[in-house]
Amino acid sequence: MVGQGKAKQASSKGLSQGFKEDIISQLPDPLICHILYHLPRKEVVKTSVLSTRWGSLWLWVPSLELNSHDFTDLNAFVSLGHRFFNSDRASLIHKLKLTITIDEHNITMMLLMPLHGLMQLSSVSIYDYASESFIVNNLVSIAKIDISLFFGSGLFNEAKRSNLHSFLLGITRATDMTLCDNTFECMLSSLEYVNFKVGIVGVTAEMKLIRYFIENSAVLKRLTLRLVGDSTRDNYTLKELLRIPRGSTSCEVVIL
Amino acid sequence: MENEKKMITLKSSDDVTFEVEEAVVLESQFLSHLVQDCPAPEHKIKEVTGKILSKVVEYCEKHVVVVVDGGDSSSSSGDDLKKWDDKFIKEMDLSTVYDLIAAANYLNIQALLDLMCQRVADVITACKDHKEIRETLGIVSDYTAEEEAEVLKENEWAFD
Repeated sequence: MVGQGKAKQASSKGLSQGFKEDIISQLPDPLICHILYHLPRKEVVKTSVLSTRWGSLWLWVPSLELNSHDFTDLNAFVSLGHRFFNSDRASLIHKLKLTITIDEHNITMMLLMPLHGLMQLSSVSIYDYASESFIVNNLVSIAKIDISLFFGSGLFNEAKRSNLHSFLLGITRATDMTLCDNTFECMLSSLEYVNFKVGIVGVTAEMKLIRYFIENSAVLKRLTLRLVGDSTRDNYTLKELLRIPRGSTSCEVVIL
Repeated sequence: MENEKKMITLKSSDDVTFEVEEAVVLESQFLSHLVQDCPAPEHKIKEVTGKILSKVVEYCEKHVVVVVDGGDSSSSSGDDLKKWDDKFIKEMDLSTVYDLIAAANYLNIQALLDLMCQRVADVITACKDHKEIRETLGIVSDYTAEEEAEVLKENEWAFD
């Protein structure tokens, strides 16, 4: 009886006095990772020093938030990125948030290299204030992508336009995309001609994109597109297109 | 007839039985499939002890009631539920929390799993350094001094 009483007392004081026995490490890895998933980003990394069992567990957490601001050493940042985006694990990552403030060419790209061909990423947030160019290829089936790219400082020139072009090509499979603030702001404020080389069938996603350009481009002169649906569909699409309010007074919509 | 609630008996690994409404059982993905596939009045859950199952049942009963009431009630029921959750976890020692994590995972009750994991995460976050985390959770380091220094150096940015 005495023993029982003691045990009870010990467990009720467990939180304040600490455990004598390491019960948490007996949980299976995925459950420990689920606990780690609920920790703030730096705390997650701190658990690596607890014991060898915990040493690499944090690398299996399905979400990552990295800010280059935390690093004084660029190499440490890149090496951490490479450790985390190891190809064995890459398919487990569901959520990713990168904030890049280091003025270094292509750092985001270097970090994300191993992510190419990912199947399960459901949410990517990238806030890149520094990289001049940015390309992501083959990110298959991303549900949500939230990107704020500044493409370096200075004017939105021809080179940056072509960077953005390559970038957009790489993420064509995203189902929900938000391009924030300056990326589009600088683009929309200078965009004069938009040409959709791909045929437009008239599905919602296409219409949304076209609508976005027409509504928001302040100095757009011409938007060119090709309708490739059947005649009924094309008629409907055409009516839809003409109803879109135009952000630029001199905007002309050309249908080939 | 329609208003009559269907009752289901759950039996723990140590043969403690709990009689609950079917709606309570449906909080668990695992049990709702079990009940659908095998319409017996009693279900033995070999992986969960009576002590833990009583907590699971308590949690599910509380949460199912609120959902049913949800039709006309305001956000206060959400606040009440949160208060109830806070009290529920505060009274619990960590070893019960771990058992509930395993049980919630097995029975597939996502909200309970998240609540319990958040509880452990909060305990970890409240610690001032990794030594205190070890002490609080009872983790014994098996790193050599050199290895530990290396891990610390590797992840220096997180330890400011």
